[in-house]
Amino acid sequence: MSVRKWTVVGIVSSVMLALVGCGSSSATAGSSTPYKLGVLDGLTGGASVLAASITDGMTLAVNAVNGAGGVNGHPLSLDIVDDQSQPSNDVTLVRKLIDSGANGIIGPNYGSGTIAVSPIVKKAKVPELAYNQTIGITQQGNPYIFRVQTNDTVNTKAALLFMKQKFGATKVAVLYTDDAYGTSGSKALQSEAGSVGVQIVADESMSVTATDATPQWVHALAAHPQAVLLWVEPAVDGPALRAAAQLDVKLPMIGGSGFANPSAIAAVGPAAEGVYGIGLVDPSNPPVGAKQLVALLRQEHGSSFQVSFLEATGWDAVQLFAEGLRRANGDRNKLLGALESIANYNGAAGTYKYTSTNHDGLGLDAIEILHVQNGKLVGFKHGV
Amino acid sequence: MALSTGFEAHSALTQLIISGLTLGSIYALVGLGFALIYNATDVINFAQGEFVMMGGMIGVILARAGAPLPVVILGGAVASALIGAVVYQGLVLRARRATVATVVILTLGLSVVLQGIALQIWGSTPLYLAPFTAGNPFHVLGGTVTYQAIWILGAAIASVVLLQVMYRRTQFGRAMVACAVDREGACLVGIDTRRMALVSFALSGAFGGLAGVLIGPIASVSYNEGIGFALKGFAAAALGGMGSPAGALVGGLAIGLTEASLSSYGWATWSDTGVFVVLIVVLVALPTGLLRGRAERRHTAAL
Repeated sequence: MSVRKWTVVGIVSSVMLALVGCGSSSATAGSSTPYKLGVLDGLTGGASVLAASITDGMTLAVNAVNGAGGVNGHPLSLDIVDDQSQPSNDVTLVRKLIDSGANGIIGPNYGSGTIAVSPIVKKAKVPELAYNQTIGITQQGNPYIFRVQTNDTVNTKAALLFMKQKFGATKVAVLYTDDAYGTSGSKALQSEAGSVGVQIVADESMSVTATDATPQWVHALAAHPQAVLLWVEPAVDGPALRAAAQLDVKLPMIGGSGFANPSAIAAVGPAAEGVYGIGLVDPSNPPVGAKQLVALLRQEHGSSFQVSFLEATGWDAVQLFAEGLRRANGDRNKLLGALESIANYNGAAGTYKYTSTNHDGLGLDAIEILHVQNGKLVGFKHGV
Repeated sequence: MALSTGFEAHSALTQLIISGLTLGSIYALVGLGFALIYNATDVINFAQGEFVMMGGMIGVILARAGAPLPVVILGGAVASALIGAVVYQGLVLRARRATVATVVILTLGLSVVLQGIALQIWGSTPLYLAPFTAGNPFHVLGGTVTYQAIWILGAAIASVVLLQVMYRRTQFGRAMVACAVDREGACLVGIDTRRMALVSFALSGAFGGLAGVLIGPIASVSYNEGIGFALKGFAAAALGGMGSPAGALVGGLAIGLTEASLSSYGWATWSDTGVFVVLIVVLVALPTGLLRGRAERRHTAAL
């Protein structure tokens, strides 16, 4: 057999592998017809570092809602499916969820996945609460997509402002992954930098499968930045920050939400020490809307458990759907309008202010600047 | 406020070469594993990347248990060597009547199984290893060299040299070469071809496990890291010349340098694509690879 034949075998088999889907689901019991919510998340693959925490928040929210009598007497149920962190899998999976009677969709993890399923939820008229920061997801002219997160404009502006206020940095370098999260963040940084008086002197992309970030660091440092912004997927935080540590980089650094969560910090190890992050929840001083969630998490994982934006956004997505279904009285046709009427909802991650023209929900007031100290994320500053 | 980077790069080109050689050495170690198994069985073992992952995972466990560095390195390599031996005895040998293509598919399936096992045991959060040698990096010709890079490059070169010495200077190594050239012929002169294949799988696992431990302080050790290393390692072996240890080293370094070049000049998005474009171009021009690997064998029946 020739090398070319092996290559063909390898490619065909890799495609087959990519097409293999491993579904998982969980549902809560109820006495009357449940209101079903479909969840797309990367339980395996690159986003899996985040998925367990997000779905934990969702499950706790469903249990809390059902424990309090459900939504107008109907229990909520979750159908969680694994897209293997591949946006290309989301189209098929979201169709299955909608066909199985989901009232709403939560997820997926990647902005490119949300963009991929957008036409399907629009056609089916099923609202989707997405926890991506990718700006474009709420700018597609699709009224059925809502954001349960801050967007990249808010996050990048906060990062730039903080670096300027705290360190006087007016020249910054950006390291980003070449997926929707990273490229959207990079574009937002470029467009926001001028308005806050900061210059982007280096803009370095990395593959989401990168194992070494040294070339990008060398290129970025040659431009003499005063601070570095990391807009990379959680799986790349480790290679990026370990390369910085091995090159003995001493610049102040701040990461986006792909960094500012306990599981990402744990995965990076000592190289994360001293790095700042853009988060939504101060683990030692969670907002009022997160009190019940924190209590439940500590009941489940122990009293030292640190809540992050991941559990908070998962919790909020379910609670927002519950509130919407309550206001719509379970009528799927009225759910969109009901969600748009949630104009001042105190969630675990911040205050959501949806309207018919604003599906972004959270703003700059929700931002928490976090700092890694002794391997833990500590609240550093609320708002910017 | 004056801010210092703590680091001044004088030569992006030097740094590119250092990074390329570091990553390339890892690909070379994985490529060596492909070459060994291919020589012994004609099989392209796509579970090779899982040897890397398993080696890294075992290394992390040993390091966290407080084991000294030699135990961490050897432990990762030996664990993957054992997995390699079990894969041969439990899977490849039993499927010896199947076609080579079928066995290749079996190794792909095995790769998924091993990933699943790793996910269940260690979870999805990436793990890491501390650098083998502490201390700040040093500067050479305007580039920055970390001690870990020296470890990686040294291990790759030492592995290739040891393998070449074994092939050329030992009775056992010559028997392995005989199997690679003509397995039926080797069998007729009394060489235990199954034993050779078993040792090849074990050695292949050891090289993969060693790569997994070595890369731990640079990349993350994760249950799903294997397939990326498998593809690059396969490319390294094919580019250098399938079946040739020196070819795996040359191919690995060429791939590492290609990847680092694209990343250094703002083409990181194209780094994976670039690697395989180079592979395709070289194999079209030189079907047996840069160092003329083993020609296609006509008798492939006996495993």
